[in-house]
Amino acid sequence: MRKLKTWNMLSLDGFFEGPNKGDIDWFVWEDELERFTLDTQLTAGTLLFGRVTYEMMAAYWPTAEGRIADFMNSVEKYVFSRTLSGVDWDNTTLVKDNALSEVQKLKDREGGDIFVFGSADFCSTLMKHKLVDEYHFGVNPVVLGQGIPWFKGGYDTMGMQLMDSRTLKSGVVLLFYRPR
Amino acid sequence: MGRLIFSMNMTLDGFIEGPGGDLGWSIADEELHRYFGDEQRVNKVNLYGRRLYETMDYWRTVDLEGLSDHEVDFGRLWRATPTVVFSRTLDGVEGNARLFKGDAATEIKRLKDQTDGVLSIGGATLASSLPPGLIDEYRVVVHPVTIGSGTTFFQNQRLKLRLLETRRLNSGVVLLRYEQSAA
Repeated sequence: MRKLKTWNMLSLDGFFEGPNKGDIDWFVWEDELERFTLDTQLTAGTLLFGRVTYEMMAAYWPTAEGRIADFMNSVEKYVFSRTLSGVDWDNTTLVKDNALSEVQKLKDREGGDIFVFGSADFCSTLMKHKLVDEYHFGVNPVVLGQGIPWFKGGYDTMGMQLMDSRTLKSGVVLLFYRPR
Repeated sequence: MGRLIFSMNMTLDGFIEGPGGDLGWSIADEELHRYFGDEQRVNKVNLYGRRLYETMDYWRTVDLEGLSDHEVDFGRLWRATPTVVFSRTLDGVEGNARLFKGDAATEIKRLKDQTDGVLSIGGATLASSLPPGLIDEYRVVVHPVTIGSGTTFFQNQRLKLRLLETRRLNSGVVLLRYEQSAA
């Protein structure tokens, strides 16, 4: 049984993207955050994506170089989409139907933890169906006012347990929760 | 010149209250009460919108006798602090409060110029109606809960912030303190 963990960079007001598509210029990216990413996320056994994040990642990583790129290209990946007709990123499987039971099957397997990067719509579905074991957030020191919220609503009140928090020198605050 | 601080509870998904003013999600344990008590201790004045005034008015009328020590402390501090309520619809306010029906930004600027120390503003609608730069510090008290809908802490503003402090309470509440960044 593996854990499913989500990772997202958010503005303080909960947006993962500004009002314009792909507006993530406000992400603070620095050494400390990169080290955290390497230490935790590169232990993942499987990555899951929704379509939009998949398309962004699949357009970038295959030609990128370095430790993160090597990992992203070689790790087992699943993309959940009813509209994609095919996938061509290495080690990627397209799931068109029965997404929830497929996710449960993946969780039941042995191996490194499952991570979901970005993929807010897909995360929202996982959250509603209580398939997320840990929520990891990087809260950026910025308020956007407008954009695409990570939390989509449509769920009952859910209590969380704060597992850990870390304050980075850049002003990004890492918050780790698990559902109660 | 005073320092204007916007401090409120917020759910992890960004709300200060649920639909119909629901605050049932908020943790109100001793540690958090003491934290807000410490804030109240240095406040020279509370600046409230109507809704928050109506919520906090509980502390004016409640019988402190029946409450625990930290609640009594908070209640006494709160009663001793003058409050200005900004509302066009209220007819009057009670206790240590005065009602202001005019332009909130102008009045708050005037109060800030006059006050030596901390002015605390509460109420998301009031806070977001002020021009950028008037609020010096944001204290976001993040509760470990998601509620899905309600009134948001930040409303349609774009702010570049500088993190001043984070504090983690035993309940899992995280206090995030920011000031507006000059850039």
